[in-house]
Amino acid sequence: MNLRKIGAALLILLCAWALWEAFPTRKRQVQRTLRALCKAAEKEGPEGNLAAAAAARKVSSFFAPECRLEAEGYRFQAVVDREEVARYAFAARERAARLSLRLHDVVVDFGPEGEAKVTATARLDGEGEGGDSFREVHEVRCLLRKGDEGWKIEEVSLVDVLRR
Amino acid sequence: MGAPKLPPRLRAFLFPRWTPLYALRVVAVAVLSLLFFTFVLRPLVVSGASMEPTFRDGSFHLLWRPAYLFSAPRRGDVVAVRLAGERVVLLKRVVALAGEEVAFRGGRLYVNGLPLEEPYVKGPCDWELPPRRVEEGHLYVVGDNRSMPMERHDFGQVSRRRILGAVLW
Repeated sequence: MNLRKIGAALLILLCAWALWEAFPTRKRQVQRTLRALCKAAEKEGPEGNLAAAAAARKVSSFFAPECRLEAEGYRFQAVVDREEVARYAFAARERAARLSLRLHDVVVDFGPEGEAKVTATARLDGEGEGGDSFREVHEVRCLLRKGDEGWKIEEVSLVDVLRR
Repeated sequence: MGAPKLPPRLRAFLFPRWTPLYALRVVAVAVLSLLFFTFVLRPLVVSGASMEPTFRDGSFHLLWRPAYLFSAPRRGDVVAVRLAGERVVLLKRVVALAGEEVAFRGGRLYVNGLPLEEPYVKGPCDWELPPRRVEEGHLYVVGDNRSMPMERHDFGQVSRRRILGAVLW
């Protein structure tokens, strides 16, 4: 095989990859949104109030103007707007020296109206200001809908796998 | 200085000739290993302290998936509980079966009103939990580490369908 053939093969691969990236499927769009949310939620070290507020606002931008939150095990249910989501995110960042959110086993299904139903295992690792580490692992279900601003989270519920 | 000469048989075993048949054998072994370590014996790495001291944070174990194909989980078994999928699972010990009543009084676990002998619990415990009955098709699972605050420990009844298998070692 000469160099010209290798170059052509590489070029075809590059074009295929560019097309793959430029025109993601609905499923990949949703997965990308969730990955971006996890990245936005991450806190790697000390940060000032302004940086924390900006990060919290970024987290809230992944949510719809009204979002329903539910945690059966904690008897918590609320419909919140983006301001409240930002306040929760800010409070969490303020209390933790380090935060990391990971989603595993992500399954995306699409409903009849084009909404995306996501089931995943969310793992939140962190370290308190006093150096004490904590970890929360939950099965989560989310509902996302695509609007003018892309895919936004409309519902988040924590599944009660272990019921006391 | 040249490389040491290996006996022909050992050399053939360590560095076999790459023939189509040999390639097929390598692929077959790889596929069978993948299937075996996915559906039969699944490797696990413990992350967290809820099963200490039996299972230490960071320790490596194997999950026997067919454990409950022909039998039901028994009290004392350490099982893996599936969440959304199988990449992240919870390791817990079965302490009560469907229809039984579970309670914690003064840090001691009571099943059907009788204290349960739990040699695997080493640290002090002060948990209090009023009695509750385990529903049909469910099991009651708790971690071995009862020294941590009850609020920070995930335990309770779980659907039998979420049990992936038993921890073998």
